[in-house]
Amino acid sequence: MKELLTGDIQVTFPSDTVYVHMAITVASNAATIAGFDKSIASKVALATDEAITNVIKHAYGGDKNKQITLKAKITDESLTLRVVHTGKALTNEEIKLPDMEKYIKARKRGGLGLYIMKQFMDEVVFLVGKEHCCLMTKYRNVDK
Amino acid sequence: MAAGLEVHAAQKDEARVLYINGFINAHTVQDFEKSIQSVLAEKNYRILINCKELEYINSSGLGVLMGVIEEIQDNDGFLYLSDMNETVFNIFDTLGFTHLFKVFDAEMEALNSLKELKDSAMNED
Repeated sequence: MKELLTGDIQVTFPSDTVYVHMAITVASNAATIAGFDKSIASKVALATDEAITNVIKHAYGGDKNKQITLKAKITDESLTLRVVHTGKALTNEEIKLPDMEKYIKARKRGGLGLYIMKQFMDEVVFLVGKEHCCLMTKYRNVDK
Repeated sequence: MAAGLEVHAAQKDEARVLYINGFINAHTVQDFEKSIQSVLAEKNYRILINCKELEYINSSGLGVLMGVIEEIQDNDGFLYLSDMNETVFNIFDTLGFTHLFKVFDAEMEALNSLKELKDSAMNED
């Protein structure tokens, strides 16, 4: 039986979109180490891209000189990804997911990031504190 | 072009084909949008995006496609996509964008479909 790997990975980088691809490579690799297949790892990467992009655009308002920390934690049960920042907090109450049928009919653009995160991860919550955090979880034995 | 994305265009039969190499996210999306807008500026409304070398597309890139589809359809054009990898297809499928954009397994299939459309229109005339 294949041994389950566990561990913590952390990377801190400036709030500049040039670093997003590097960060999602970390998330994708963490997912692969956690035993997820390539398809799930790519979904984890995409959800991480959206979470980090949200922080850069909305929490930091495009300021490239702030810091973002991506923390990946692999446990026996799950892979959790925390996108940690000190910008404007987003709370769970503020989240409004689009009705995709109406969205497509109206030819809207924008506002899909949170929807993608929710679809591709098992849980997405926003934590407010001294540092704010988007916490995303993918369970190791659950496919979505 | 931003590091991470290259786009080149070629005319094939009825379609302007855009070959996307790299990834489309917040860092590269402006270059992607410029590439599409330059095609539209030339009044080319028959566009096929070949995604063979597209690693992934995030919501910024999907927003660009949503932003141009109306202009394309208003000009009796189309925006087809082909050769998606699993990651790219997953996101289109999950969001329901496969109902809005016609997706082909391969570029040749898309071009053949256009040829059939053209032939059938000529026969009707």
